[in-house]
Amino acid sequence: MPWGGALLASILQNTLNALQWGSFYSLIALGYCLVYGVLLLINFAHGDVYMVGAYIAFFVATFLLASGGLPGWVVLAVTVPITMVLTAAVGVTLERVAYRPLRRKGAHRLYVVVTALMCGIILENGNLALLGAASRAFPELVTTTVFSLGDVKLTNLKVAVIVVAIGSFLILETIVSRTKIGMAMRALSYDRFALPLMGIPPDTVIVFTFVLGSSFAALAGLLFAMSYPVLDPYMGAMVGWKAFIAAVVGGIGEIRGAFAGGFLLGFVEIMVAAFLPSTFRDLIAFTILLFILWMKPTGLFGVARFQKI
Amino acid sequence: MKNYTKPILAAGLWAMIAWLFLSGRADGYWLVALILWGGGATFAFYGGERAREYGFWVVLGTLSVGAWWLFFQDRRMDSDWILCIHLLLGAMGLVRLFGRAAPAWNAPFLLAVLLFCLVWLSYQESINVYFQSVLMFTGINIIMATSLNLVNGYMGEFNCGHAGPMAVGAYVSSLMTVALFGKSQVFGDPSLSPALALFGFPFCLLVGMAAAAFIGFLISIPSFKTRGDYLAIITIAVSYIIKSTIENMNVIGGARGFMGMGQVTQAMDKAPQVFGLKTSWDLPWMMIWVFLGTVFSVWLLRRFVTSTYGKGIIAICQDEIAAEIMSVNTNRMKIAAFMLSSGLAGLAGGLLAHAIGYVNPSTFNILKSTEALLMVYLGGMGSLSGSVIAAVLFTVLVDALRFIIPILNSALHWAHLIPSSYEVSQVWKWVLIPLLLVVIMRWRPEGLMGNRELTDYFPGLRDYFRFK
Amino acid sequence: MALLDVKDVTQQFGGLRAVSSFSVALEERELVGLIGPNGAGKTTIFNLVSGFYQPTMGTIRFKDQPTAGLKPNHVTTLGVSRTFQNIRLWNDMTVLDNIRVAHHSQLSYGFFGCSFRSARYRDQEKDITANAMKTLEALDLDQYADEFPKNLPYGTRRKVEIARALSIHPRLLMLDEPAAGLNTADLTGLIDLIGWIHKEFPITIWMIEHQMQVVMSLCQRIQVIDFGATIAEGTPTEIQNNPAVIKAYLGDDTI
Ligand SMILES: Nc1ncnc2c1ncn2[C@@H]1O[C@H](COP(=O)(O)OP(=O)(O)OP(=O)(O)O)[C@@H](O)[C@H]1O
Ligand SMILES: [Mg+2]
Repeated sequence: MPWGGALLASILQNTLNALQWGSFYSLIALGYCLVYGVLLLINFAHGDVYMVGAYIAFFVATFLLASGGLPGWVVLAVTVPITMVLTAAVGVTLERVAYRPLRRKGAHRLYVVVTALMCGIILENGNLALLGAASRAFPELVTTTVFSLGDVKLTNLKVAVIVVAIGSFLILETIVSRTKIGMAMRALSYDRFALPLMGIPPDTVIVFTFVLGSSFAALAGLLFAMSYPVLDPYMGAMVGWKAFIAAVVGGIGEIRGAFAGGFLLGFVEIMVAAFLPSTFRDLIAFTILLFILWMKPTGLFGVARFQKI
Repeated sequence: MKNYTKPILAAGLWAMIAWLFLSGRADGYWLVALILWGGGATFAFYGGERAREYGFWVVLGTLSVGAWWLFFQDRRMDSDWILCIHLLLGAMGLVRLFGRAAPAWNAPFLLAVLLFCLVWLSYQESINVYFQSVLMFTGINIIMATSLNLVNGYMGEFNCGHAGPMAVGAYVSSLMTVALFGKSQVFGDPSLSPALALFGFPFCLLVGMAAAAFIGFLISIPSFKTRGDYLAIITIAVSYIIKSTIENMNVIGGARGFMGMGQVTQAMDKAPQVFGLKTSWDLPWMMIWVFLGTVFSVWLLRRFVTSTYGKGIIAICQDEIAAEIMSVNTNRMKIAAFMLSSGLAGLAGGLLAHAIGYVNPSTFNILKSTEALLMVYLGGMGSLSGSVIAAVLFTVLVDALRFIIPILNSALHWAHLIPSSYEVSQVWKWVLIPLLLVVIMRWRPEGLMGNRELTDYFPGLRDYFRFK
Repeated sequence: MALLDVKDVTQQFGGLRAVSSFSVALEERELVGLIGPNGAGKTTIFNLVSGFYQPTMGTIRFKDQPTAGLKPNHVTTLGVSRTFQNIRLWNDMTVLDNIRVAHHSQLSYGFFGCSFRSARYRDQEKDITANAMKTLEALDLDQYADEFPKNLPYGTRRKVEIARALSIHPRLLMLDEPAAGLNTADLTGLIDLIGWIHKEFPITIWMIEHQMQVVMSLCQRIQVIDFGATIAEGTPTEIQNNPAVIKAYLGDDTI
């Protein structure tokens, strides 16, 4: 094959990988973005909620596999909603137990942020302390099929991940812009005190936001566990920080921004890793992000709200 | 609360005196001194305004005169701890009695006595190497927390990459000291006589600080236009970039880290050779440096934020638009705040590197920045004494749990509260600490001190350290 | 020579032209009003003069010196000072500190001066503290020196903000709706205060105000703008009877 063809194939292959990798970031970044949009809270525990999602998926799936001779796809179909519900419960618990009391007491925004940071650490290390350091292998629920288009390899899983990420984005976008509760979410981010006028209590909206964010993180955790079937308690820490960075680069609080930012980060990371020594990955990825923020100080999609003087 | 402090203090005092007496640790002069001390204190607690004054006279007079006299006489001490406690209390007494005459010297005098006591106890090995290292980490954490408080508390930005400038300070100063005074694979033989290490070290620290301050300068440029969470990202990104850059620099050890600072700190003992002397000073040098560095940082920050110039930063925090229009050059103040904060972080990094003896890029990962954040918000945004207290609490807590957890483990097993197959491991430390912090924040949602200082809560303390 | 000379200034925010070809000339010791309906661009004009925005077109000269490109703190040192429509005091700083910090751009001791408590540091701190106290006393606010503005009643906060602006001895004092939110008792006090300041200090006052009572009783001259452009100018009585003003600004109501 001519050299140009190989290069093209490699670019295509890496683009696919980047789409998959970016899908995880996007799904997590969406959660950051939802909570931020409503509460102006950087929910630093979100990366760890994603980790918890992956673990819950693991336990549900292994339990279902062990308890009956169900075929893999049925197990998967049952695991998805259960995982999403349970993880959402974890997210809502955090909000109820840790964040809401502080908000009620009128604490400075950053104290809530730091509390979130600590909740993340508790989740990570609590998991490590309770379940031990041994990393777990996620069972294979659907057999991987590989489609080959020339030199480019495509698996059914990869396609599924990308489709789910895009689907989630569309669903969220619809919820936020079309439904009543979505409008309430947007209203809340502008004016906390006007919302009760719409007849929806703010706490309901906030809980709903956490449910949405956490269940999409659970989806990301499940898909990640299926794609890279090794789980460890710190898997959410780094990914969480990076997804947050992606959300900000997209323009924090903007759903489109979080989605695009996640894919952007995925692209940069995969492309750097593909064509340069992998130790340069973070260096170059962060330099690019820094450059973007320099050019657009409010992120790709963010708009500066002007303040009346 | 107030009604209980006095009886508790008095009871504690007498219990201690009784214990010292019964265990045979105090006799002769000490016994008399202790009883006078206890009596004077009790008198002072319960007497009126006048009695309080006289009580302090009795307590502190006996202690200071007696302890200092004994120390210079023949150093016949029953215990180094008793000596040092007396020296400290005696010094406080002197300040209390004569401090009004020259208030500016109270704090330096007290700190000098404290330093002396710490050095003396380490020299006598009354505090072991482990405890010494805990003390050093406390000091380093104090520098880290107070310096971050300048940006995160006083200026109200959210810097979550404080480890970045720390790493720069650590590496630059380490590379310098090792190149100058140590033998290493990278630099070969020392280029200066190791006997000069003691005198060269602060200079190298300063260079490290300058390099870290330069990073602060770079971060401050985007802060002109970018603020809030976007700026937070920039700080994280910068700290990642620094860490990654170091990891990719294989000449200085890359991800494996860099070492050789141990020989430099040991070489400090050889300082007398510079003057042609044969003796060697066997002192805990790093502890002295950390102490001086801590005092220097707090002193510098305190002077900065109490001046009208520094209050420009507080104005930026409270209303940036008003600050900008009403005469604060916000860009210049942001540069100043970031450079000072990062420079001191570099100092903390340099001290840390030399206290441990080696550096590793992963020491300065996001967890380090997180620790700094925790201490700042635990202490209270915009409270230096809050950061100091939080840093001490945090460091002590981390090390105390090391001992508490095994005890907890056996207790739980003994009570059959957990299955016998399960061991409560040290991992629980990092569950318990954040949990405790979450609880503290629920109890005090603005940190321990809020934005006030310790002296605002206890005005009496002003007598002892008049920092202005 | 006018103290402040604004010529054909235009300010564009994206598609919105907040100020268009606005001109004004203020003489020494004048007391001039600037009125107009909500969103007319009044505050934007103040922001332009403060140096907070750079005009899209036109020139601003203060004491015959162009202010283009100067940062707000530099403009302040030239002698322009102002208050804000929504009080912008530093709420967690004492009243005295609020006024001291307003002297920030006059400080020259810098970082090392404050680290070493140099002689210059001590002199300057003493001077600005004395000056701040003097201003507070002149405005009868000295009993609040150690209070936090957030704990003061609204009217007093307004007064503190005026004290802060006045303390740096400006040549031009710009007041952005000083009467907003005041009750009737405070209002008469405010009118007296502004009149007194104008009499006592060698100062030009430029005032945005919606309360007609304040404008009519204080201003020697009034300029009316709508959609960023001047629609009328004259003495209070002339303005009161100007049909264009009545139409644009007051609707069909009479004053
Ligand atoms: N920084 C900005 N970016 C975009 N638009 C702005 C900005 N500042 C002001 N505007 C717009 O310019 C117009 C004029 O605003 P300005 O604040 O000057 O009005 P005003 O005359 O002071 O009104 P009010 O009486 O309500 O204070 C308004 O439509 C406002 O929305
Ligand atoms: Mg206005």
